[in-house]
Amino acid sequence: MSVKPLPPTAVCGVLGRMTEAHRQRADQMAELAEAEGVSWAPSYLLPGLSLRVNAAAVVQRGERHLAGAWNAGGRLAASLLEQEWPAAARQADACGIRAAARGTGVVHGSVSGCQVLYVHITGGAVFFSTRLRWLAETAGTLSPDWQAWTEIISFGAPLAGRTTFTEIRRLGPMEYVEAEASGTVQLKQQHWPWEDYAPQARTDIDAATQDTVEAMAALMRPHLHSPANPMLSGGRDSRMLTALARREAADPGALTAWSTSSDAGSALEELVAAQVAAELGLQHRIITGRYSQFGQDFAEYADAVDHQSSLHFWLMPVARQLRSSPGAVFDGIGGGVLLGGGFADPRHAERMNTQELLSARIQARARYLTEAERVFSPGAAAALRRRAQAGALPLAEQYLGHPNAHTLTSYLIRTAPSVAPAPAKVLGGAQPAVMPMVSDQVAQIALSLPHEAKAEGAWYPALLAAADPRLRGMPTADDLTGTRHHKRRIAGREAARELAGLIRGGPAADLLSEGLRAADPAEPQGVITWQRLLSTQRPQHLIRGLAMLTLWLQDYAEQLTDTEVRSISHA
Amino acid sequence: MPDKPIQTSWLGTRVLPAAHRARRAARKAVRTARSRLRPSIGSLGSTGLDLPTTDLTAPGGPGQVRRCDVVVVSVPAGQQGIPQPWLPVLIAAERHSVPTVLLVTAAEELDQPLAAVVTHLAVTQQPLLPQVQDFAGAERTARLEPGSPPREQTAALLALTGTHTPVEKA
Repeated sequence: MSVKPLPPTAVCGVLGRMTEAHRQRADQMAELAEAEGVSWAPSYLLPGLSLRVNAAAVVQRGERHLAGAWNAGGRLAASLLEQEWPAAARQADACGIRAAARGTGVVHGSVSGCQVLYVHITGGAVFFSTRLRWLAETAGTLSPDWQAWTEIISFGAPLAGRTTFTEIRRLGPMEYVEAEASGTVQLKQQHWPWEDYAPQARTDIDAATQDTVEAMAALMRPHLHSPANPMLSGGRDSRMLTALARREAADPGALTAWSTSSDAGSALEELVAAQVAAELGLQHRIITGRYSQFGQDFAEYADAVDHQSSLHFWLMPVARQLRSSPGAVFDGIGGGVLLGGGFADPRHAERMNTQELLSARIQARARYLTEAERVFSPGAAAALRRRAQAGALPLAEQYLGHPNAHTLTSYLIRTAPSVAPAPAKVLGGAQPAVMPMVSDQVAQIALSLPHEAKAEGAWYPALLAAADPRLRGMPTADDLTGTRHHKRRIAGREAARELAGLIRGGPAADLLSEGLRAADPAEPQGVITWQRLLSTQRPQHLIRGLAMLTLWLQDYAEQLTDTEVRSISHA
Repeated sequence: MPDKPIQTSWLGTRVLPAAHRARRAARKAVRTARSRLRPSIGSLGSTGLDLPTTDLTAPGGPGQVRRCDVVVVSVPAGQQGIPQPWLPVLIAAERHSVPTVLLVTAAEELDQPLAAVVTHLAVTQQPLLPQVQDFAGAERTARLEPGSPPREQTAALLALTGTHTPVEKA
């Protein structure tokens, strides 16, 4: 029986002291969402609570209390709300709310931290929203967080729950805001169970493989009674999920596998994906962006992620197409870090002292800065390095002696903050997005395996064969080691002019190196200078960060207490 | 979502990229020299060009790709996806840095998956050129003169695919 497709998840509200101003702000947030096309279910209004959710969330209301849960995928069981919130967050990777009398209760994040929920604590209440724009545009004056911008430029996203506004935070794994009867509203941290998972010496790999595949299949099954959209690249994680979708789908003919170009200079990913789709007998679509639309795509991506990540701008064309293809999207976020064993300490780690080890773990995620002088003035480049290291150090120190130290550090520096907005907000803004690989069930098994069982992708052949024996031995795009001879869209003349014009025409130009400040993109030699930098991964990443900063300032300058981007240089 | 580790070892950040660059430069030099003496054009589908080409849909096609300077591709009539037998040929072209040029004869062909995987696009009809340039950018697009001698058409294909980032003409 086919089930009606869900809309992308949308939630906003306020919990705590309820003044007329607070009520009005909650209404304004809801109106902003409606203007973007969100259709709210009837509002939930209790003393001290105003909550708006759409059909993707599940809510239970009693006489004096309310419980709600949601994630980017939707289709959560109502029985989830009968558990305490930490258990619900863990079981369904759900964010949620538990409200009791007179505005007391909690607003909580998910176990993976990949589900996106923003909070603004002010005036004895917590305002919350799945979209940062709804919070920011209704908040009045806000302060820029230049440390967050340093981290977007250096790593791809702000770390440790920061956002580009000092007053607004994104909830991390098992973080929550509690509104107490005393009127106190505070951000707190529930114990994160992933810290408890450690490699076990004796592990049955075959059983772990079966359990992992079946855990993912169980999470996908509720979404496969209607059309669905697995994302399929040339890699292992996406083909595993695509094969599972094929296996679990009530009607495999209603599945469409989607591929796009990650603008990496090769079409091997799309071609290998086409081979996999053909092998599995699935419909397959390859969507790439038009060169003339680069500027629009970049601006739409910036809006979709609320300017909080600079990594996956190339997803926008496929996200746009997905809007007219109802059904859940399946995304393999977390596969590389949890299943692939690719994020491990260097081989000579045991000979490193503590500081060297911490630096190695941080710099492994901040390699873009090795090319900082090609993009930034010397002062700005040095300040970015200092601030990036300082911002990431507490995260790295937290897990220094943990048996999964490098994995957890990488996860908290890269996967949850930088990568998650792509499935949760870009694809998740088009259709409900399901992320089975960052579920607690999968993380528990994967983090309990010995490192050598996963190192350099050692576990993948067994996982792929368990998902579908036809995947056995099929090469990935990485296995075929192609060369990057395609012109990248971002390095084309059109995109280079767009990005250079944007940055040079805004306040972020103050951070540029002399060479880039002098390179006029209207001139043939000037645009070549920008194109050459955009052709290489690291300078390109830094330039994207500056472009994102410029778009953010265009959108929010009038609300900000300070727009002096040179503050980034003042560590 | 791709979540790959960034290469951090000395081997991964210095040696391998340098080896890749050296290999690519060597291949390019050999190909440039060979293409001047005796250019070799491969084809997938009916190109409609008056050019001697190697038909890569024949058995052993993928093995012949690396000896080609360019592979010219056309959208097969009545087919929505990439024909399955063409996939190994196109993959071989990617692996050996052999440019692939789609000859576009109608604007609708830009929605075909082949347009998303080739390195360059070419047209013979002037009115189509702006739409193709919108799709693939000025640097990846060219117009081939219909009815021009094979040598000129070959030279135009090599000129289109030979320079990664050409300086814009005034």
